Amino acid sequence: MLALHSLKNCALVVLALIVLVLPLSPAPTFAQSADPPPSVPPGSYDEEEAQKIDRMLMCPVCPAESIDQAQVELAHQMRAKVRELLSEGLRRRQVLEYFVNRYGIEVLAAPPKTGISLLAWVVPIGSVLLGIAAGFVILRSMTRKAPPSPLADDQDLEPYLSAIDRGLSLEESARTRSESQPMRGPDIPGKRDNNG
Amino acid sequence: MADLGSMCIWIALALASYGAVGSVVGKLRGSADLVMSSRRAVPLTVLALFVATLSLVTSFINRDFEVAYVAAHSDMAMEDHFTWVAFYAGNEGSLLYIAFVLSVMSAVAVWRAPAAVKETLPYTTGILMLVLTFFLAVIGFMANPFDKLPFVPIDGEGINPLLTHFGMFFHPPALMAGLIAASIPFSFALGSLLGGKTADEWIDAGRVWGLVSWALLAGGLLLGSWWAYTILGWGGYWFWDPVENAALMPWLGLTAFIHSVMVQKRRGMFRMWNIVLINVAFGLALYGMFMNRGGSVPSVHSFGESTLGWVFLLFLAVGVIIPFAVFFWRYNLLKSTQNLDSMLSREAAFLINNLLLLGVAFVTLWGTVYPLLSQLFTGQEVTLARPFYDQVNGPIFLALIFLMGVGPLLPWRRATWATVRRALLTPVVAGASVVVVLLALGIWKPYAIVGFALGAMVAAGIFQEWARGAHSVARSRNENHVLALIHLIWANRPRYGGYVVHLAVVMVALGVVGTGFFNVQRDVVLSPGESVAVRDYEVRYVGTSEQFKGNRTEYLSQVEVYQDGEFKYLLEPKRAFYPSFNMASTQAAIRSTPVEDLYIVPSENLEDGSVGLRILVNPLIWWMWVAGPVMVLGTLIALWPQTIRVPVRIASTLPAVNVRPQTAGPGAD
Repeated sequence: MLALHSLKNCALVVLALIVLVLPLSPAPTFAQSADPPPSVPPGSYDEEEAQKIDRMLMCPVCPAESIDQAQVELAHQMRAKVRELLSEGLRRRQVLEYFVNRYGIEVLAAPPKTGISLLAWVVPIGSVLLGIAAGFVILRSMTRKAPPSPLADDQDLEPYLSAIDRGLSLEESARTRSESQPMRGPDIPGKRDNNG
Repeated sequence: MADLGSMCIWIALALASYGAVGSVVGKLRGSADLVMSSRRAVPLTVLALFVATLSLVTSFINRDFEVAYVAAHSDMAMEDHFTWVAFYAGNEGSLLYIAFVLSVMSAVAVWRAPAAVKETLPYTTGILMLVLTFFLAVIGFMANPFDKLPFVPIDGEGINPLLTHFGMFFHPPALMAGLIAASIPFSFALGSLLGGKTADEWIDAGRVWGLVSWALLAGGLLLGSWWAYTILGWGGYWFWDPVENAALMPWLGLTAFIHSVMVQKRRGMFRMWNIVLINVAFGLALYGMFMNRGGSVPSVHSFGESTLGWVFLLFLAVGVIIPFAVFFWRYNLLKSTQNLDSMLSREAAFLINNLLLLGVAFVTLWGTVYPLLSQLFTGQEVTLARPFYDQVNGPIFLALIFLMGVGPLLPWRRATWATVRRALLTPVVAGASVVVVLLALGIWKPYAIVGFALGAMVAAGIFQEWARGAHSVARSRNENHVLALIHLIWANRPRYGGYVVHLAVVMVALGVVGTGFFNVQRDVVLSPGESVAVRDYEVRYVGTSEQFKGNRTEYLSQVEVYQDGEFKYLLEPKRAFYPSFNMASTQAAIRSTPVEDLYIVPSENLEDGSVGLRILVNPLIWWMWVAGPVMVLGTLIALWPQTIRVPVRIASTLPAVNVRPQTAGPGAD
């Protein structure tokens, strides 16, 4: 039982880690390269960084497309501007600021995690975590309600349950009870005792 | 022809409303005759709508431009087979398509309804016909595809060039059919609830139709991604567009539903939860249809400005509020009879999987409506696009894949340490070795490593199950392992169909992670004879030929691809300009292999013969497109009716345990 508990805890920790930690780690990185704008010589800026920034900026005149995707002239100019600013030595944040000053906050594909915009991030992440927490609480309460010996009425299932324990494939049971449904796999159903 | 079609719409509307009112009133009054005659209205709506559909098709074939819809969506130059696409290219036609699909599905659902739901079937019929009545009323009063112009134009406006692609023959109809199909399991659930049958009567029908809807949506989404990949010309396949999201959300809800419905089928648990899930899925499907028609969020998919938005919004409100009202009215009857034995059981894993799926749906909904909320409260519109979804939904998807690997391997009720170790040892070792290999290769991208490792874990778990099962069948039946595997799958179709679908999901994940983290993109302008190197490909531009084709000018560029200085193959990316739409469409030239795609798409053709090219190397994306057919295959296996019994020799000793008394089917799943 101890092992079982620790395994359960392990699973919980893994889940929690996956859900909790990953969103806080930096955004996924995309390996990319090259859009030589007419004015800026290639090599005077980091093309990978430029493409990352392209994906963070929305094309102001096309519905729901980033400037990386959009093929209108304005998107083309914005891509060139990104490279120009980068070659002037601006950082990613400064480049993004430049576009926000010109086109407003909606030019960003995702708002910064500060101020009122923090809500955009906190509400969904918080809700998901709360939902999962609630799920665990509900599962816990469902487990507690269970009668003290929940398997007492399952005496007739004993051979199958032990077959599960012995091995998922039921090899043993297939051998001992030669005609007993060797195809069940691990999927021996619990008996339905009192459903309506 | 158009007059006939119009008439059929009104006839169908009359039939549907009769079916809706008649079956419910008949049931309440205890009049079997009224119930029967209302039920007969269902196949009659199919007939009426079939004639209406046929009339619209005929109008298209005849290029009857007096019909406003035909004039707006076709022209003389259109090839006849594009009628199929033109049919649903606009609001009116797509609504007729939806109504027709709904009537056909309703008729089949009512006709093939299992014995367990017979008593509440009049309510189910009533709800289905009510939904149909809504669509037909909208068509009749607000969006009639048979409306006529006051004059007959010489030529039509033509079909939207973006729609003239192979993928468009399947993507929109599959999605629309999938969205409307969600109303079938919903109607079975709500019908049973109204009739006071609150146990497990409806779940067999609910599961089958939920799977149908789920598979149509999955296929539609993958086809849409494939279409975007080959034709939108930016090298990606999914960009969390509000309307893509609108189809993704009901799919997520249904994914949760088809999993948790199995728990109810097997363990009698989660009764309330399943009702809630199918209500949510139906609400999300309605929301999806609303977004398509005059939704207030900008998208590349909207059917233009349309006044239908508020009608759909109203229907959406009704379609969400009433079921939940009924749910709370029947709340006391819905209490589950079963308790959870252990947190370490398949039931518990399924519930967590449900919550995570709903979590993704909620995050997606939030991302879709937040721009409106922020506009409303701060006066400043904030965009939530791809980076938001990548960062918030990405980790939840990883957690889901983890559960997909663990959940099915856990036994029902409770697992012991030994079962868990035996089931998970191989998968965990497989996942861990992937991590080691990737790290040894010097790849340090945590997301990608976790993604690949989890994928390997799931696949290893599935193959282990198959190998063990096939081995034991082979031993007991003395057959070879291939035959044994087929027997194994056939004897337990819902389970093994599910495994096939899970494999397809792993394939999709492989493509997503591969392109998301390891692709290379290059935008270049090349003059004839110039070349550019992208990873280990050398791409040499030869030249472009121009061709006038009726409504468009096609630019066919020729590009030679070299590897290690050796000529490999010629690619011909295409770009077409449609003057009447002032619109260009592109067709990427893609050299696809399981390892990586070389993807070349022209972005502009300049006067001096030079061409702007976007060149991408997309690793592993091939797997995503192959996953589609695999997913369909898996769903078909899972759905295949279990009429052919497992040979008696095998089934005979366990009937008391695995056949549910109140569902007639041989419960071999």
